[in-house]
Amino acid sequence: MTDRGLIIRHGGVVVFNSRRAAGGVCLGMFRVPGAQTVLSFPHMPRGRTPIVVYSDGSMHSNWLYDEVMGYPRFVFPAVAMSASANYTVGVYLK
Amino acid sequence: MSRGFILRNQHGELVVHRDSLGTQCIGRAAFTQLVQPSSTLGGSRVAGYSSYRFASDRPILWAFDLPVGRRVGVVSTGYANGINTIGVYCGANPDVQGFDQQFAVDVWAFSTLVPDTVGAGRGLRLRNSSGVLSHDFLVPNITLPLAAGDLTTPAQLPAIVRPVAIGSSPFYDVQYESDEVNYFKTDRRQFLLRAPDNSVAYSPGLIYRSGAMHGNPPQGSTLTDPSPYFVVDGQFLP
Repeated sequence: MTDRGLIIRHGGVVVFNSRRAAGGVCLGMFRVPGAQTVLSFPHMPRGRTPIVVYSDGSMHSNWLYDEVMGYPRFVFPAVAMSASANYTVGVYLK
Repeated sequence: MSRGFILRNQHGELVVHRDSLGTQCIGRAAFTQLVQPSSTLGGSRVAGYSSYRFASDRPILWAFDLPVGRRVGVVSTGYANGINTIGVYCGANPDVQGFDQQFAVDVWAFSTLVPDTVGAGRGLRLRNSSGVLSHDFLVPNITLPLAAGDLTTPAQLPAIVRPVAIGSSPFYDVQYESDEVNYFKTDRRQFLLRAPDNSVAYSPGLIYRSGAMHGNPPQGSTLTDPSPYFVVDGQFLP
């Protein structure tokens, strides 16, 4: 079934091709403060690979992933940084 | 479990889900300055970088060009009064102490779907379980990952004209060597490196900062959480 897929053109240019796409849908981009932060996604499926992307060059805590609520949940533990600081994460599911 | 539009690729991985969010490039950051590694005089040295500005209040993932043979990564970000500042490492040609010469590089801002940019044309749009627009395949510069990698697995790129990386906060490893009165700090970082065969991987640890410090060293070494990264096609980016 490798010949099936969705291809979208815009002005003649292919802007989306599901056969070329690597796995990973974005659940959101978030500013995470130093305090513990929990991000839940009740509408997303279980059993997928979680991915967290950073792009800010700073120190981060090691995030955790679980499905104990029956849906994907990402937990960012508290990290030592100034009260006004935050870092940005991109949360994905593959 | 919600029902609705879901697309998977041939590996069974999710590529579109109505309750995920479309992503798009929202602009190119403006170059402000290029800083070379600090002087060899004085003992303590730090790597160079180039810096950029971008006006936006949205949460942003920074993306950057991947010139072949240059080690690239975001090393610092800041935000004040609507302006983001981004410090980016893009280096090659290391000097005798291992500090790279720095080059300017193209940097873009990626965000989730910006409702203001939604056009009036006809095309595929998705709403999520709550009825809110989540994907619009008509907006300019939508992005999708064409490859992904992490610290141990390189991204193998398809034949695309201009690979651009999203993510990859440079993994870093700080070590302390104690002597009788002081300690010596060595901070090494791993950046993304695109090889001529069009693979992208984290580089070996490059010297980023070194110098003699006074007092007692911190316990052990410090490692950051290495970020995975996505590679998108930058061919049509602004």
